[in-house]
Amino acid sequence: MSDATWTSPAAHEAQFSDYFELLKPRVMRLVIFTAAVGLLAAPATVHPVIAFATILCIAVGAGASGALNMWWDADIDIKMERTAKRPIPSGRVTSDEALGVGLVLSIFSVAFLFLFGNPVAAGLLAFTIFFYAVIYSMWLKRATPQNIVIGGAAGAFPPMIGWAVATGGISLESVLMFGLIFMWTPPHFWALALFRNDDYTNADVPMLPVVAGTRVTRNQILIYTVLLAPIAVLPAFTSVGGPVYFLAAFVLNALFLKGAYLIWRRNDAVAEADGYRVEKRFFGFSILYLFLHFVLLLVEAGLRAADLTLANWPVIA
Amino acid sequence: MNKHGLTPDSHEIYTRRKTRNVGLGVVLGGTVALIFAVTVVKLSQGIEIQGFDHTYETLPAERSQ
Repeated sequence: MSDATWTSPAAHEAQFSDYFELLKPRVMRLVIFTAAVGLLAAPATVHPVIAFATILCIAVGAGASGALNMWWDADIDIKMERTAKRPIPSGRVTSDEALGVGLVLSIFSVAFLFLFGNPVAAGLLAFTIFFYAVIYSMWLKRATPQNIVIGGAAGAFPPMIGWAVATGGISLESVLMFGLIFMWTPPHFWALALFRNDDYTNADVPMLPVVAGTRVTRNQILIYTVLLAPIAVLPAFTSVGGPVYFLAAFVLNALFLKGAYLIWRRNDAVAEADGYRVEKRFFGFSILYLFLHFVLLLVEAGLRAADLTLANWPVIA
Repeated sequence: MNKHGLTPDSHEIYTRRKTRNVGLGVVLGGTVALIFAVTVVKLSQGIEIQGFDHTYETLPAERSQ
């Protein structure tokens, strides 16, 4: 008798893709894009190999914090339709393995970013992971309806880290890129929460519509969108901006404000009557809105590289 | 091949875990390649080497970028 009989096959053998899924590939895509824009928009050139290596570190670090988040949140993920198919709640990966993957990749990504890049970038990445895994996931997500506001900071750091790789520091431009994502996150997620409310109610996650009601949520979406607009347009008048950014950002923010106003004007009865059409459109547009702002920063970087700039464009910093 | 149809190196666990093993191999190989590539770039950007008897140390170059 061979001892092979002792290994009873598991219900599902975890495959490489199951572990990869722990890193939240879709979030990672956004992180790679914004970090790359932060790096490319910076006034210093980075060797392509270094740029590739450091952006990979940032992506893996963000993925590691995603794995830690899934380890911690497995108990509520299983209760929500949107997250029930994640590797841990669906039984493909054990939570211990997720913890291991998260910790190991966190340490390696920060250490490598320190070696490939510089201490400022590595420090910011370490703080981002800590912020998302501990301050957001463990502490605030289940404690306060402001969870989204504060958690948004974790998603807002990547362009700042990319900027720090190139410049070795922090400046107004990178803070504005942070501010853009930070202020964008609440209206984006609250619009989602308006039409996916049941999920969060089932899981006892205190999302704003659950705790404070949808009227307050609609008000807050408008308030944050109004505050977001100047932060989103201001980069036009810094070293990363220019007239193209200004004109396009002006239009995008006007459209975003209009959407927020339409959401604010409605109530749930009207929204239910047309299947939350306005809220869903606003949510969809919010993704395009953020994406295009960062594309515009890339366009301006390209124009600067080609020396196509206006000599008398006002720049505050 | 023994009477169970297994060679010493063909346990069914290798089949079940194939994507894990190959994936991990690619990740480790990629990490080595990445470190090598970054090392080549950093050295070619200029790095000071300070020599002593029987040993040397590298000094961070003036950041050219």
